[in-house]
Amino acid sequence: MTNVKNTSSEINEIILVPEDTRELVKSLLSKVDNFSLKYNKYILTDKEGKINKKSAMSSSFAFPAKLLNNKISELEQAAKSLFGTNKVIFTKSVVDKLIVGLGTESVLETSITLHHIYGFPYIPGQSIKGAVRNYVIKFYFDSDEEKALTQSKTFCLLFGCNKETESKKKSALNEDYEGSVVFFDAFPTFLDNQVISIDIMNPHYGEYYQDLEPPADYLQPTPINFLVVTNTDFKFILGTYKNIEVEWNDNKLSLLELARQFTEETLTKYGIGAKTSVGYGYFK
Amino acid sequence: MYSQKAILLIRNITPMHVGSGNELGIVDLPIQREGHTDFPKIEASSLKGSLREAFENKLGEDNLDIHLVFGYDEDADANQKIKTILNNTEYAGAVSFSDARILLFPVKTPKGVFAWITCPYALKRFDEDLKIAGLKKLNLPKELNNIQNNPETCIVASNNLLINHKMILEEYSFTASVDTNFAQNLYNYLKIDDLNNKLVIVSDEIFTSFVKLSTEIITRTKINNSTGTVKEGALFNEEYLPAESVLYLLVFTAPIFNTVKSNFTDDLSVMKFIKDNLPAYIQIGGNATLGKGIVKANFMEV
Repeated sequence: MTNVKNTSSEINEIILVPEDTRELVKSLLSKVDNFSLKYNKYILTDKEGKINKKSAMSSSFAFPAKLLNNKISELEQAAKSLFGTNKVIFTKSVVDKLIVGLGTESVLETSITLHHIYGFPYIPGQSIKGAVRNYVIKFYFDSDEEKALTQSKTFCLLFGCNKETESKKKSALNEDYEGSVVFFDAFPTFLDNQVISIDIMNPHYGEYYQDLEPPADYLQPTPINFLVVTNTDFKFILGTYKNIEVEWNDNKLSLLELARQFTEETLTKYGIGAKTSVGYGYFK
Repeated sequence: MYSQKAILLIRNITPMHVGSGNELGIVDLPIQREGHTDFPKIEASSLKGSLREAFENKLGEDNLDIHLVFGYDEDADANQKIKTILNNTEYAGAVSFSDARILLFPVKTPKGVFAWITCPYALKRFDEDLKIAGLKKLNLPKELNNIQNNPETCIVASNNLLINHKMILEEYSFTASVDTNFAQNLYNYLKIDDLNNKLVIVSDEIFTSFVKLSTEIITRTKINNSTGTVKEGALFNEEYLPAESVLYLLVFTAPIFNTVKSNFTDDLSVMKFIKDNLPAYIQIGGNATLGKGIVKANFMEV
């Protein structure tokens, strides 16, 4: 299937799809509204038949605004129906750029998390819950997961715990417990051509990192393109089935309110996704 | 016995993982599937638990009616309040569920973001189940056999889906014929917005391939707290039935099987209780705290 015809036309060749589909997609390429299909399936090559990463990543895609709004309001309605008043919904904007799922397998080396059906970039619930949990462990429990699990009932109620920790110590709740706070997937609130853009990393000492060579100026830099999300807001939704009162730092408050505080702190101070240490993944 | 019948329609708002245990393939945690067709399904037992929980979240665990309709549950009766009201806790529930069967499966398309595919087998089965539930049967399109014999063809609901008279699903293209009437007909049962813009009927063979190969696989990792990087050996793959999948199940009710009846007079009043109290959104399956398995549920009224 990677056998590519040489065409004299301006359009690059699409590989990895059957020939009849190839011709159809070519006529439509700038209008494909499912970005995931465009990015993961309709891969473009240059005239020599090599995958053209840059044009494969070209970000022009138009997602129907009406569909996006419908899906967001569906999530909000679901939260309302499931949790009643025990829900919080808030919107945060990406400060600079966001990368989720950079390391996922892809023919283009680098990747991005795209919704399985709608094909737009989003932040899965597990990424949010994982980041918030790590943030809390890092800043409130000195990066010691076991300390959090064994000493804090509130931590266990929020994120869940097993009866025993990995080193067989009793958790603060002393039972297997599924966390009480539900972290929904966060969808972007608007999508246009500007939202997905191409970024670059340029490791200068690749061979040094692979333990092949000493780090020296004769090594060649290797530019690697990847996709980032920028210029949009995300809608975050949290909920609990029951109102649970907890204590935190000598204050009494609802578990949901605490989860909201932690999530906002994580988004604004700790970042989410890849490369947070160099400024990606922060929200305001 | 279980003489009142209805059809409950379920549409995934978020991906759903109703698991069947561990497996040694690429996917560590696959979803439940039917043995004879390989179509995704939800076991009645998994469903009953989820539905009971939804009722409990709404009415409270210690609601007598829930114990009468779904059967007595010791764990949901911590103070033994229900036990003292009931003379006998050994009785069957008054509601019965079938497995949930797949009717529409979402597939990405370059035009219109996604389409809902179904197939002759799924449609005929749905038609039979409509009959069992005492609902009016569908008017199935005559061309169904044609598609079955020519898997490279399909029937679509609208011209809007087509590119040069062809329908593209993921990377595959199909020769399409348009049938707006059937989509409208099916809409009258399902009341799913946009169905008349997104319905595609493909052959059983093609449908089976998509429901087997196009489910969502989510790779989960754990982050090491001291290094902030992915923890080794903590990687696993979970399979999900994607958002926008549409399933349905048959619901049957019987009169209460206990001498205590609460306000229930007959099987009809049990069905009314279920219909009146069923929340619009329910959570089914694993990873509830990650917002997975949220479905929109409603009884089919034709």
